[in-house]
Amino acid sequence: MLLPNRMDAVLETIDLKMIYRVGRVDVPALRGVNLRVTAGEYVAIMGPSGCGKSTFLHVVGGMLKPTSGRVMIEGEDLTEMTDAQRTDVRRRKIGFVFQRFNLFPTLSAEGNLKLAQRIHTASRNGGDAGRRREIMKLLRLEEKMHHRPLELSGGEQQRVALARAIINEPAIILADEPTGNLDSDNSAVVLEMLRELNQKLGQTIVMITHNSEAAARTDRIIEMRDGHVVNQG
Amino acid sequence: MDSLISANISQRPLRTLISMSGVALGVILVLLFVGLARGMMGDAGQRQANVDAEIRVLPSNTYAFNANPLMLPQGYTDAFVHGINPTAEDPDLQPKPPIAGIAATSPIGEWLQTGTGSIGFEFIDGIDYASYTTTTRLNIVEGRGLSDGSTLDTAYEAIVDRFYAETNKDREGKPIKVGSKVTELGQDFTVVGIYEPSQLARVKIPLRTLQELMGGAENCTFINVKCQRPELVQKVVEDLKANYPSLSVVPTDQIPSLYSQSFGVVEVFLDVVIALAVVISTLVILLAMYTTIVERTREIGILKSLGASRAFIVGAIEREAALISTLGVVVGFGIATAAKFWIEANTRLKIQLGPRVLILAAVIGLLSGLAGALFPAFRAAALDPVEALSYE
Repeated sequence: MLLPNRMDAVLETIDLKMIYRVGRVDVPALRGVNLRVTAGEYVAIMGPSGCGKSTFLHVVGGMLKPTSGRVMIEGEDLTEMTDAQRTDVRRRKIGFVFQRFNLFPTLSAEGNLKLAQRIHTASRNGGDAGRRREIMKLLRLEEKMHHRPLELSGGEQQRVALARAIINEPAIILADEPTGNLDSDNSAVVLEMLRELNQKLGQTIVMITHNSEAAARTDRIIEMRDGHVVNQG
Repeated sequence: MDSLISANISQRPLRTLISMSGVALGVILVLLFVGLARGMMGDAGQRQANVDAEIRVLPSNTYAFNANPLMLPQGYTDAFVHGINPTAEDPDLQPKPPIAGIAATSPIGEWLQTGTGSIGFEFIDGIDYASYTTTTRLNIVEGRGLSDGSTLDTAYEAIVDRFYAETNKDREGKPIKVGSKVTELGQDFTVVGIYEPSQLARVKIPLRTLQELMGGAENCTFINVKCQRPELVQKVVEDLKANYPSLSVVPTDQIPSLYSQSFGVVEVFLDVVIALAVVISTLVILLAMYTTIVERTREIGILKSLGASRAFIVGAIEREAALISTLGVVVGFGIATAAKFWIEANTRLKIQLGPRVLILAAVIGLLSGLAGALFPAFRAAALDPVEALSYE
């Protein structure tokens, strides 16, 4: 497998600011974040609640438009884009993993993956079944292909969410507290999977976490406080 | 279950059932009302066309061929054939010549009454049997023809067509045959004969009886005129119009189309029914899909996080609505077909479910469903992904 050139910036933010308007009050969430994540890096972002971690993740994931500054995903500047264009970048280049798994409860594990493939290919065909089997096998979920989320444990659900995030080979995975809803055993499994994905596939991962043990498994720990990056790791 | 749409439909059965029922209701409304109107008009038009007399004469300014009271003096039947001459009793009478080419004339009284089981309306004819059969072919297949109704014994006789006999029960609930008693115009009549083919009203009683019951002495609703030869029809029509400008003279081959035109108000009613069906189907789908979208706000957020475009989200919701609407159309077809057979078996109403009305109902059901889902679909597509993901 051809691993990515580690010098290429997959994610880069320049003086990124995000200010929320709450009533008549401006609430700054990001106060000029400068960050560069290169291809194949596995990065943790840590910081106290309210420091802007989740806002940062939503902005770099193209789900929020920043107040100012720039966000580049593989050289594509999200800040210059329309909502539709940012959605397109998200479809092509970003995989999300959420704390609450966010699987479709009415679909089987395979159905969730198939849906992601359909969105990615913008077609109504079933997507590449071989790729689904390969990813499910990689995440040791072959036996759970036809189970619905409610028939799976929390750890299994998060692994399905992880499988969904990587099924379309995104440039970067943005994981928002992926172990926040899991017990320690399942957390360990999910963190191990993330590590494997990074090492075997060269998958670039940015993970927000409060868990210092989880952060310790990454290549680099970035610390945020009051909307600033205080330590680039 | 790998399809989001089919999973949503199968795992929200109540929502699916309600949405489907809304569409089905619209389809049933369209099929039954349009089918009923078309069926009744088609049936009535066919029965008008079965009359051999080539000309019908009606009171002036009569455009409708239904519900006419007894307003036309039946003395015109003689006047057309023999002409009018002043008499000692009426020296001021304007003379009129006999109309050449007429073979026979017959006065017919037609009255509209409530249909079987108080469903719909149906005509009853009062005829002068002797002259009637000189203007049109009427085969008595069982029993005999009508008497003139001049005596108490013969006044309450009736002849009915075969369809009526086969689809109705007598006063005692038994199949109708010669000798059965049927209730018409609030009176008991004895069936003395069954005739073919169906023409005008299915039940015919003596004109004299109709006149007595409805207070139209010596009057009829229209007069059938039979010409000596087909090529004389145009000339007879022109002569009748020239000599009797106060009357309406209509070739009978025009009557089926005029009959349909006279139901203009029915067309308006059908348009209202169709509009109502559209509104019902649209609103039900709109409300059901809107509720679904609110319930699934978080799922919409997930779709957006996966990079689903607005078009993808609108398309998914519209496809779901299309599937529900299709199911609604199929269910509506099934129920309407069952209702058609039940209604036709238990009443004398006819429902015509031809390809045009089926296509109309299907298009209305599908388009209403799609239109109803549009607003929820666009609203879903416009949701903020971050807010949607945090929706509880």
